Amino acid sequence: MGARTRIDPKRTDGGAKIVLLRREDGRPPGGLLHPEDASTSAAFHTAADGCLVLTITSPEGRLHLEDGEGPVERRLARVMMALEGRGFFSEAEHQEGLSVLWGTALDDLSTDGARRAASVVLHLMAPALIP
Amino acid sequence: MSHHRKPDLILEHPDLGGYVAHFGRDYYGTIPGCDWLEVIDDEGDVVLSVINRLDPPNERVEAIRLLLVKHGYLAADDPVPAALIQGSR
Repeated sequence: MGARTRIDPKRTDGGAKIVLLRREDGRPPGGLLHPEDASTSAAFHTAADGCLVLTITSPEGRLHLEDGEGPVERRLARVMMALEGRGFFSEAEHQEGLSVLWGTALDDLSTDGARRAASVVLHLMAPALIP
Repeated sequence: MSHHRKPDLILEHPDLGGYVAHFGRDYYGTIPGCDWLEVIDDEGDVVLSVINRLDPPNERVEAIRLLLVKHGYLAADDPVPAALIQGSR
């Protein structure tokens, strides 16, 4: 079982909630292990220019998605669909995970998959939430 | 979306041998969507799949080149493969 991502939504700045992510194992945030295949992992971050970057690594190969085109919500949707398409969470969990954008607490989500999806959303959208 | 071009590249990894790569740009009508590249091994498996939507689009080829360098399919001082330049037009 991989390290879990802990959400620490304590700070507010300029009226916008800033979400800080930490991993309990001390590693940098922005990673997921595949729920059914521990040899497959995903790493994601927002680059300094706002580009969303996703890398999925498995024994068979690697997917590298770099997306700086269009509204950030659309970029996020493409990243999420890439993760969903490779089994990191289901479509329903993807949809449920998005509800954290409207204030749903991570712990209130119904499945681990929804929490995985939400952790991606929060991590990638946090820079966009900073005024 | 349609594959505007699909040129083949031959890449030589110093440790792992030769690979074929397909590269192209997808379009929404006349608007460039994403640049993509697939590196395929001799068994037909995709070992590296790149989808790049950098904006402006003219930065994508260099980003893909850097990724190929990072993973050892190109040397750092190798020029941008002609197929990438042609495929991005």
